Amino acid sequence: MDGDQFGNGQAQEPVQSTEENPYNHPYTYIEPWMGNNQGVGYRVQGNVQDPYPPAVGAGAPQSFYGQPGTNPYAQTSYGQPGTNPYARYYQPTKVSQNSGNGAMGMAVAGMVCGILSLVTCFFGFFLAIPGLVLSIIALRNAQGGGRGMAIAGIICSALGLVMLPVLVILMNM
Amino acid sequence: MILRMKRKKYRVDRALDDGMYIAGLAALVVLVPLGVWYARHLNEGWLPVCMAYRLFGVYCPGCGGSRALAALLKGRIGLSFLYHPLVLYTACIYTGFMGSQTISRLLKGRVRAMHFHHWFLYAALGIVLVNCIVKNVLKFCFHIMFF
Repeated sequence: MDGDQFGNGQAQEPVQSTEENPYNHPYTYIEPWMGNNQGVGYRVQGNVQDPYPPAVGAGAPQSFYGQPGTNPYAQTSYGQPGTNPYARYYQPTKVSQNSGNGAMGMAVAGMVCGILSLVTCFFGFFLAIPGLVLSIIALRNAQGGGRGMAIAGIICSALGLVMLPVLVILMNM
Repeated sequence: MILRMKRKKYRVDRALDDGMYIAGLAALVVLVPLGVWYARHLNEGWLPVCMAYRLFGVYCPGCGGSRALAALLKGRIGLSFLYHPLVLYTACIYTGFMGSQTISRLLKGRVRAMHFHHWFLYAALGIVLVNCIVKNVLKFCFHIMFF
């Protein structure tokens, strides 16, 4: 079956508007009357990296809604196969590999050390240092709930750390 | 996606519970001999006064902790709470967590165990700060002293 106006058929070079793009965006709107075989919608101009690669088994562009067994969103007229028109606005964030159990455990340990350093007052100096180190490491890697605990651990450890020097200074005054 | 997030959260919770349980067992090795020695030899009446209190006359965040532990080991729960509520709070949380986790592990998950929650630590921090403020306010405004 050759192509029709709804984009069913073989992949061909789409007909694009010859008008100059006044907004300088990377998309070209393709109307049904333009006679392309890849459906109606926006086409991406240029090479944009897709953060969501197409599913395995998706073939060449076939239909606007996709063929059975293929990913309809990966091969539509909204972009070239394997591209995402929104990719230029989407910057994938780098997620640390250590943001799960390790960071949460360190945040908990840091906060426990911080509270104990506050409670043990004069001897808290020895607990405040590991508490501060653990909390800072946890803060760098933690997400969500672990972040608050890491901040609380840093504050408690810092208070426990400065308590002894402050008391010694006050004692000598 | 939601199922994957739930699974990840379960893994994190399970790892935290495991870590806390191991830390609790390690603490038990230290706490049992210390508790026995405290209960036999120490009396909360003649424990030395905190150095911060002796030098500056101000209750520090940990003032009363040793007395509270000695009183708790002798079964004086109310007195222990008055000396330092953190000791009683920690004892309750520790007993509940370790007891339920041990039973759950022995019965291979047939009994639901108490899980570690973040608010345990935030509550402990709040107790420490509120206790310190309240004690100092009572001392300086109403001349009520705890030891």
